[in-house]
Amino acid sequence: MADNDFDRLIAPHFEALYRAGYRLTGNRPDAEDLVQEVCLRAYPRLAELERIDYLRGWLLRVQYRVFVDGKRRRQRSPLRPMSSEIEASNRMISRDPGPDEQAEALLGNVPLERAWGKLNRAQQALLALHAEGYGLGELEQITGLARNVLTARLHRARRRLAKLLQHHAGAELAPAEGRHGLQRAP
Amino acid sequence: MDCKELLEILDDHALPRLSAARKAQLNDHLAACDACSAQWHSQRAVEDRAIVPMTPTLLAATRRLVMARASQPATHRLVSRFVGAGVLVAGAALATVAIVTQVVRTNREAAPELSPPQTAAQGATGPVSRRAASPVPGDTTSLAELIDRVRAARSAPVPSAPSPESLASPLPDGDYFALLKVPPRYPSEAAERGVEGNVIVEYAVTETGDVEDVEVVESTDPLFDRAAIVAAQQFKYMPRIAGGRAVAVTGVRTRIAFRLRPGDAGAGGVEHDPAFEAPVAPTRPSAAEITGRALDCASSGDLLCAELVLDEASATYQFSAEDQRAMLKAYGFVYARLEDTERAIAAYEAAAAIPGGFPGDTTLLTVAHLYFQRQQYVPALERTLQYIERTSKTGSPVPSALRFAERLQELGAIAP
Repeated sequence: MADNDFDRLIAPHFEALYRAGYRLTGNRPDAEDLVQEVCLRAYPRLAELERIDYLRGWLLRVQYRVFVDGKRRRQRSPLRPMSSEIEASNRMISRDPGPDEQAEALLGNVPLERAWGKLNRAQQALLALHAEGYGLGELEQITGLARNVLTARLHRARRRLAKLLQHHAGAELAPAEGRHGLQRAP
Repeated sequence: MDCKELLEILDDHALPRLSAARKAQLNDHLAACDACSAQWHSQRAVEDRAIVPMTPTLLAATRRLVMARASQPATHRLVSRFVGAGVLVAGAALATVAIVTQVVRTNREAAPELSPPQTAAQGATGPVSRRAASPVPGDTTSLAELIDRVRAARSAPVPSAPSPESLASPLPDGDYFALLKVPPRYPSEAAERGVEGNVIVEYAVTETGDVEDVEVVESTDPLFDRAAIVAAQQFKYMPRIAGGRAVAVTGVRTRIAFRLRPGDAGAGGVEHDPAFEAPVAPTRPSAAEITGRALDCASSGDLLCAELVLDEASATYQFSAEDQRAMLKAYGFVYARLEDTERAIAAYEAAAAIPGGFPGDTTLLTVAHLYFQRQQYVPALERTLQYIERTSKTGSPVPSALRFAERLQELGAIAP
């Protein structure tokens, strides 16, 4: 397996993988980890990859599965004691801004990040990949979901995010105003 | 323009291609419809998130990493990955308190071995190896021997190079059933306070057998909710098959019980498990670590990689009974996904044959469903009854097991 196989087959999709990875994870270190994980998995199978027509879709699919199935690699990292995992995840959903959130606050859209954290991973993944510009056809390939299932889930995820965003906005801006759109079922 | 059209425009990223007149209609609709407006803006917000550019050297670093990994022999790779992981094992033994799905069993030794109905029908149950089906309590068989038994059942070569869609081929119809249920981690705050509890979670089992949309339905203490959800998200199922296609099932419920073991803070009334006493070699990885790696492979569609991870680890390390059981179940899961039912059964049977196990363990039920898939109703009924008898001693079997047993009897199996 030669060096140039990597350059020929994987490198052209590297930027796309990183961008999608960033959208999935929301930060650079995790995105870079994710991309490397995908490359590590793909590389031993380069011979097979040669025969795949839509290689980017295949690589994104691997990335999607790794992401949606959870951060197993990280959870098992010897650097992080297992017993603190639960607390760590509890901390992520706490209302106090953690260091990450404080950093986000300087950089980006806090209500969005907060609402985003309440979606499950599959919902995050669908919205993120869709926002990255992948169409329904590509998403079908990446997720392996049938079109109707895919659109139903995409819509559910989007409705949920919209509701969460409205909820936050309503709670923070105008709790007593009775913003009429908020209670309406989507 | 109506809501449906607007959603299609969102779904298809069609905004830039719309005519000015269409855009005006769209704006009118957004102004009038709160629900669409909210969705429109939430999508915009996601699309507008900034993407921090990657580290300039990432591509080169990844190329080096990949090449280096590729030139290492496989076994060495595993070992080097696992160095240092053993430190965690002791901590894991303390924090991981067994248990999924049912009530505590208080008398393991009394777990009955229901004698199988020895009838003429027995001969018709097919070529499945039954060697592993008769466990000897206290059996000290090494994992390697157990694996050999599993391997002995190997008849056909495994399919090569599975696509990411491991369930693409037409399958016989059947209901979903659990292939792998991982015990939850015990929240350390609950362990410190000596709190035990139960959480009932509800979720969907997808077409791929994964678990989605986990929600807590009932919980004795919110302390456990998060751990229960995390555990449930890792469950793996054989999906429901209808008309030759896998379909998703919603509203699946499982009770996850949190029970402390003696030696943990606030000892509960659960029996002592010698597996937790065994001294742990410092460099040996935990079964959780290995099965986690195997599941990583499986989740990217590479089942042969998953099998390899298990093979390498079982050839390299000595495992405690507890860990052997976990490894065998992972084998069972991988084989079931490979549609190699025979080996899957052998692996799960071997796992069920190891004494101990967490209360409410449904491995026997999994075996029963696999036999059912092969239309071997007699052994299916046997395993189901074994499961029911074991669990009803101390708790309550899952209700579906009783229905399943009834159905098997109707299907012509011999009633005990």
